[in-house]
Amino acid sequence: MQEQELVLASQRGDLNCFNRLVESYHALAYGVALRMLSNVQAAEDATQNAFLNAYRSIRQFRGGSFRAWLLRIVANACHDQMRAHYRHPATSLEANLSNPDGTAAVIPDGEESPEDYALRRELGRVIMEGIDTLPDEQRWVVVLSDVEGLSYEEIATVTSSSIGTVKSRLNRGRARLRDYLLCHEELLPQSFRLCK
Amino acid sequence: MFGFLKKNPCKSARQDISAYLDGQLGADHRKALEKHLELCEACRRELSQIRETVVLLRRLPRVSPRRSFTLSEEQTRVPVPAKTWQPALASATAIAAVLLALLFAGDFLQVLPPEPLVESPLTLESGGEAEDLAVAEHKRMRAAAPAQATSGARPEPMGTAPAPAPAPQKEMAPVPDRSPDSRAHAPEAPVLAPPMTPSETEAEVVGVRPVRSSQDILRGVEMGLGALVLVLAGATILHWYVARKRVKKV
Repeated sequence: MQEQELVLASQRGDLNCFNRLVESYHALAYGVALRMLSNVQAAEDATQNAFLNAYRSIRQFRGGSFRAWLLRIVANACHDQMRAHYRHPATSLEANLSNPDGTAAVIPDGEESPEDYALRRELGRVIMEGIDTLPDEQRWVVVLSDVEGLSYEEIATVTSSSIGTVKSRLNRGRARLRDYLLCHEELLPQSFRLCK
Repeated sequence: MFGFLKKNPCKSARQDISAYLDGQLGADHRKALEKHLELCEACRRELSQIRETVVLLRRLPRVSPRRSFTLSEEQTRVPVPAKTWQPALASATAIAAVLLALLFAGDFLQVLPPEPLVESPLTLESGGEAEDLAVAEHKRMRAAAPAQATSGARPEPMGTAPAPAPAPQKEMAPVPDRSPDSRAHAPEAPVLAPPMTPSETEAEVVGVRPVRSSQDILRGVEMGLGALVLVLAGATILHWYVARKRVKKV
């Protein structure tokens, strides 16, 4: 079934169809929540609450980008978690990249060497630390645009702001992250270091 | 002279770099930026660094959740809201307050007619100082011999003990001596009021009993309603405060 048909069936109360939507978007929703909250437990709670709220309010979806509509609900759930003081400092970022049983939560690329994989993990940790230093409104647009690949229009829907505001915040967020990464240039790829 | 007022071209260019990288810049702005980039090495360096930052972000390792988020039937059941007395308390407070306001308005506009004056039988005779003295004397006599006034007039019920002999009226004032000699010396004796008949006695009792006017009833109702409004308002506020504390705890 196509996404539109799944949405219509969910609006008629078909829980099985909605769960298929959940399976399609659960990695995206969880990834956004994790990048924003920097805490595995909080991200799981926010994601679960977001899908429950989405099922209860799916009749209010009037078309357009279902992804943006869903991520707006995820954003609200993340705000609720933040208000409940679930945001932890960057020291918990290591938990982002591994499961409690020690297995890696990062999906390895089948063609890269173990050394490259380790380097990529370390770089990922530094980038996550840099994202964590951004103010909330800049962090949202950077994660949604550059990590998850949403368009400006979708980001404007998720953050309830104008496209001009999205552009401005994205510009400032990227510049700020660039400044942070230049402090750890030993981890940066050659192409980055050549830009100095 | 006014050079500092000119917009800094580099500052303007750097504000457009992200939109330029994402293809979100209008044609005119894009041409102006590209023209500036040809001339400004610092802005070219800025563009390169921002581009590399975006590349790194897009290559971030993907994260996979460690559990499923699919919903069960039990999770999707809408919880029944707990019964609360808040709406009922608020409504009762509002109704009581409106009734109280209506009563006050009616009282202020004097909707109820004024109470007529009620006169006792004792004041129906001609006025004057002699009458006041007669009233006082009559009351004194009644206080001294109340039994004689009632027993002498009513018929004895069957089977009851005979009424005691009437006590002599010792308190009765002496009959005034109307002889010409005594009149000159003795002061005028007060005129005794005639002994009262049973119907007059009962009427007097009815006449001096305090009558509860409708105005008094209205005052009482107003006070009662006012107290009720205060109690209901206090209960409403207390219920809201307790409910709010409970929500915060959750």
